[in-house]
Amino acid sequence: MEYKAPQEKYTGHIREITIGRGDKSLKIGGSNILPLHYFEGNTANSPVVALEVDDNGAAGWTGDATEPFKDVLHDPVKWAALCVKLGADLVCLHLEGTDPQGANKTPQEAAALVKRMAQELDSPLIVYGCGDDKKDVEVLTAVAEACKGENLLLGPAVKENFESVLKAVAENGHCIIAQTPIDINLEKELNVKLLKQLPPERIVIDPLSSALGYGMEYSFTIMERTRQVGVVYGDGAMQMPVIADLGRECWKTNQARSDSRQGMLWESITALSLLLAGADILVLRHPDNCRLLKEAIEGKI
Amino acid sequence: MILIGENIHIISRAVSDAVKNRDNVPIQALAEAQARAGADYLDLNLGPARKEPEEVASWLVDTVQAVADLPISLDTMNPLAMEAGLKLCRKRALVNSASGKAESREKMMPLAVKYGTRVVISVITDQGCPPDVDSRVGSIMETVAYANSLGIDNEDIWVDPIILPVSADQRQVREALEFIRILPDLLPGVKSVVGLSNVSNGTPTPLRGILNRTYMVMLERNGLYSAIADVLDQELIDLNRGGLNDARVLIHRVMDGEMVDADALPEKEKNYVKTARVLMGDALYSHAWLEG
Repeated sequence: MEYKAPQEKYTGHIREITIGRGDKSLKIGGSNILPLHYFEGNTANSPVVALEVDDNGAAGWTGDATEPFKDVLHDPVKWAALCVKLGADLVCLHLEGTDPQGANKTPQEAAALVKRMAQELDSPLIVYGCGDDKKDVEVLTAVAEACKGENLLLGPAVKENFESVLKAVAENGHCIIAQTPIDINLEKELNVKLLKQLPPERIVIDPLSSALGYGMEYSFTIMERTRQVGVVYGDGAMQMPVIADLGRECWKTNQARSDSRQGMLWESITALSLLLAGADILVLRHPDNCRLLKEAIEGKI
Repeated sequence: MILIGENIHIISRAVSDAVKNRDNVPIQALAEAQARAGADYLDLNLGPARKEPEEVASWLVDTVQAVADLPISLDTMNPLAMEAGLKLCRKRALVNSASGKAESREKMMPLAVKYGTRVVISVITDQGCPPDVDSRVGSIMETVAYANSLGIDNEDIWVDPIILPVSADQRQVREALEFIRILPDLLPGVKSVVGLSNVSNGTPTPLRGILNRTYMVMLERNGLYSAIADVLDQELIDLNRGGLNDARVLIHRVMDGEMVDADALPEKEKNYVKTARVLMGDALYSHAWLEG
């Protein structure tokens, strides 16, 4: 008798979101299966890999992930273009330079940079503020207004500032990153609040990523449960794609700082793990790892 | 269901200040308010009672008994405080609580025998709180057998499955519910009791009541005998007296796995349905579970 493997059918599906404008837009999510369970159903869109760009010349970066970009670090727009040339599906700009504790660049400076990058780049753009929840409101609002209609993925919106960030994102036609500190209940709470004013097709979940050896299991568990709750249990507040902004976490580990080969391993292993957990967008720093993860996603390795 | 008023609790700042200053006014006000609200017992929670355990327990029991003619549930893990309080209880008291811990077996249970009281016995052991129904069963069978060997009858044992906050570990909510359902088959004659408000610990204060009330209805349906609860919550009292029948029926339907269309219901009933779903584990908990 022929053996037929049992197949699960789920009630929910991950929402498909579109980032970017026109012919350089990218669709993310949309699957109705568990991560990489290609045998179960429809993947819609494969997970994507972004490379990270810094607005401050990688001043705060540790480890050796900048080598391939050493000639363009001073010019974030050229740096972003090189990321795409080296294989990134999209670019993730971190506006570390706006940090009040650091270079403290103005919201206007940041907005001008993002606008130029969005216009010149051939891929969609993710933009993260520096993580200071007050400054981020000013910066992300300026960016959202300057880039109206570019359909950026903007964040982080956190518990402390989501109302203001949400307003800027909603009024200017962008998507939002909902960030919570590795806690599934807080994650859902923020989603519920955002969903009152934004459709799920414009929200991406950032449950925070930790590096291998530095709490990666926690991020893994939260991403895994997010996917299960959304797809298996059909919870409408948990059906948005997940972003794993992990490169920065990996390259600041002691292991990456002391040895660049270890840095490469830390980033690739953490990325592969979070891919298995259910991440739809991986943000990395090194282009070789970007290639490697894309091969993994395509099933070549 | 028997309700044990929880509001004289050492964690409350007003209560701890009153105990420290031996100020009987706030304590007696709380005792009278709970008696008026319809409490069957008054829980006097002294916590660990490290300072002057005997003086504190005696003072508190006397102070409360001066204004309220209700039996007392004496709630402390300090055996010295427990004994001092029990000596003064005029009505048959409830020792709250004993457990499977060695220290509790040796020091707390004998007090229940000596003073002929009823006793709460929880599923906790020296290994901690058992994580699921099976391990709770294993623990309670052993602890109750030990209590029986000391001469405590099942009829005087109030088993506590230990309620954990839904905001901390959502699965445990259902484990305790199931435990209460099967308890009479395991240990015929024993009664049951829960610290109801624990289920909403960690939840923003204005939202705690509906979690407590919904869980009470669910536990009661599964056979719960008594609860240590916020008896100053009038809606909880109404539910316990058979009121709010629409909400009760809806909660039961959610327990039975029926798909209830919450959005078609009036606000109050809708909220009870949403809360029951969260407590059953059908929907992931968040502080915003009533929204959206």
